Amino acid sequence: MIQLTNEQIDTQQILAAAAHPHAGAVVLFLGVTRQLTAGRETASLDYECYPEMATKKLVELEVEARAKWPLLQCVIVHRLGHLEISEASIAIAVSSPHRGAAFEAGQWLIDTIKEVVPIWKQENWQDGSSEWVHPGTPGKDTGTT
Amino acid sequence: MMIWVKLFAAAKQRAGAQVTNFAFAEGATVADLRKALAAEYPTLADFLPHCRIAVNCDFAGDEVVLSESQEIGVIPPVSGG
Repeated sequence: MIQLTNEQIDTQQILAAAAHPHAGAVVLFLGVTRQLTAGRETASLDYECYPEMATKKLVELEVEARAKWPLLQCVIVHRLGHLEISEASIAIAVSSPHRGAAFEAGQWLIDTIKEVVPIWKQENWQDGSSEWVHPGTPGKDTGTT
Repeated sequence: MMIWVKLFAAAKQRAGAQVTNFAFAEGATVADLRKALAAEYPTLADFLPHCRIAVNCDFAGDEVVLSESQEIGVIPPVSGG
């Protein structure tokens, strides 16, 4: 199950979607908004997305994960829009008969999402400035909001 | 042919546009689009080499030939998750 949402992520709903009678393991990963990055304080974050492509890439990653590991359920929910500190921006829940596959698939999914899914975050710093986060690019893209 | 291009995140911010278009001759490629984008938006030029180009929601190399029916996007390094 793939979902992009502007609503708060409901982990109980995600765990319910990951349940399966043949499951011996359910791994839930939450990516949450962090207050401190390299010593700077974040006030909040905004996530932007290319929805058609993000959905396509997430579906492809689910298919690929299911081909690599014997997953029973695979649930990926990414939140978009404005997030406060400590809120979940992404939830990944995978279930499998044994824990090894679930741990490996969950780790692979979040690592790969961070490489290929067109979603971007903008840090709104405590000092009032804001900045797109684009890993690997030199310089800063700072604009006050 | 007219090619429409969507821009995102810092690419959108630098260009000051979320969508733009270019008239190309048939046979134009992603490499031609990169040159046109850099010429049209000088503030985007030094950031473009860090961006990938998506054609119909897949990452496309510089050699890929463009056509009017495609959906094209400028994809800065992603930071979701």
